[in-house]
Amino acid sequence: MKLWSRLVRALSTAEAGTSLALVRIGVALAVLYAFLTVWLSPVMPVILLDAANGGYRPQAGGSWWTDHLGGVTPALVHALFALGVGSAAALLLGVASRLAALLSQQAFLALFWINPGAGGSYDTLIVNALWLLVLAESDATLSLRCRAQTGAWSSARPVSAWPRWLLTLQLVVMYTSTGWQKLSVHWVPGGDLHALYYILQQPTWQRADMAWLAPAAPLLQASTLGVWLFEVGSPLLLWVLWARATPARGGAWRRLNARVDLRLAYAAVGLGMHIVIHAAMEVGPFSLISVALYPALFRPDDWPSWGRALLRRPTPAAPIPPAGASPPPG
Amino acid sequence: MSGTGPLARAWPHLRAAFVVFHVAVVVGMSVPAPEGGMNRSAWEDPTVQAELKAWAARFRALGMAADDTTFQSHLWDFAAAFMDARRAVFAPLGFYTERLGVRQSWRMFVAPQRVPARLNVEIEEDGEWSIIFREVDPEATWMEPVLAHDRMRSLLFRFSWKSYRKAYGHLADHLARRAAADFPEATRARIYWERYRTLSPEATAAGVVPSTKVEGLREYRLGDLR
Repeated sequence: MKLWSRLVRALSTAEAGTSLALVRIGVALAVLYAFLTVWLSPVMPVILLDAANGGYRPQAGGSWWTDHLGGVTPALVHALFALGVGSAAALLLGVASRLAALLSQQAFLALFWINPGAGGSYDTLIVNALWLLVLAESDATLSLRCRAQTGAWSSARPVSAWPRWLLTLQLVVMYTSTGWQKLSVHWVPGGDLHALYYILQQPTWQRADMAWLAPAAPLLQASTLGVWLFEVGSPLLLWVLWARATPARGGAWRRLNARVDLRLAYAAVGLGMHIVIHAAMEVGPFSLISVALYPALFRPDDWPSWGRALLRRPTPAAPIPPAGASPPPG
Repeated sequence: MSGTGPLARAWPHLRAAFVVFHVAVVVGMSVPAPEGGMNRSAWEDPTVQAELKAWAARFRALGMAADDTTFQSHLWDFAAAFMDARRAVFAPLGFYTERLGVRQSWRMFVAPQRVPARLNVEIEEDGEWSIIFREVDPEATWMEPVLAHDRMRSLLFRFSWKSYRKAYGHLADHLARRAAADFPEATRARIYWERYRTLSPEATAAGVVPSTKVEGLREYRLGDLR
């Protein structure tokens, strides 16, 4: 019972909504990207509609929602895109964010589960992120709601912290699970570590031919090991966050975390990885939605302190007076 | 939730129960599972076979004597039993995992495809064949906004596997109809996969060109499609 009481108490923790608001904005942008790059593209009818309406399949298949709404038709598909884009825009602006996240998520599930092969893990991450935003009060700050209620764009009004913790967990689970599945002899230590090299040679994902990477194979081997360690070792991030949340308990690990912000190191490695993935490979909104969850790694009170540190200008050095000059008056 | 009623008093406990449930589902579903990989033809793919043989060799090196066939047979049995158990555990949670999008499937680049296939579309005009689309070929970009879109790339990756032969046939039929419309003078179209083994960095740097094999060739008389 003691453990349960501690859990109940911990889940009552409240904090400013800055981190959740930043996640909300990032996820909304990724969702808008995911909707619009299909809706406005000639690929839309090919993958979602039946052959009579420009699709490659004789029958278009269907998702749970489209089956219950009478089947896949061009009118229904366009209506779902309109609903998805409209609700994602509301989420971005911070208007009725829980409802907007739910509508956006259900439109996403309705559309992209019509042909689930035409997608990837980014779809799964998007719908997970949207569900967590349904649970979160993500529009307490940096939102139109905040502006309407307080007259200001930002507010320190406390919101529940646990949805932010679940967002962090989701990110860690994604990296860890994918890392533990990278069992290829080209990924694991002890193998040739050529996984990244060979993946970058697959025409399916290339933005352009990358045979020119062959001389850089040793660098890619090091990167393969780095990516594998980053993913497999992601649960350590939870230990880092625990150490930072409980500094009074002491110990070498907490002292190290007090001196070095390992969250920033983790986020920097992840960000670098996603930038390279996005530059080299066409994998849709995967990098965008992954990075959109990164603000959840940080406490709301981190942002103002980093902002102050970034805005703090170095004090200009006093000019050195020429030899023999008089000191300035006063 | 504020107030002093029974629901308000129960709320922190209900919330904690929900969070425990959510975490259990998320972590449980993220345990690696060969979803979609439990069919014999997928296991016979050269890339998969190379991986399985390499792991069998590793186990033999550790003294766990098993030939490739026995190793794969045991692995298949274990994977099948695991998937049965997984289905039994998560089936009652279908509403939460599927309707509310909490499924956890993170198989991303788990193994490089060492024998990839590149889609080719050719047409015949005046007795001459020319390539109008070839993946990642800047000289053959017909329908590129469709065929190079990330969602279509996911399909092309799948369709190059034997288990997706029927779906590939639908796509090839679609591309033939589009070619018939876009190239009114063309008489025939050929659609096929060009499969090859990716070269090692050393072989690529030495200028070796991979040998290719044509698979899934489908030929169309475009006059029949107009």
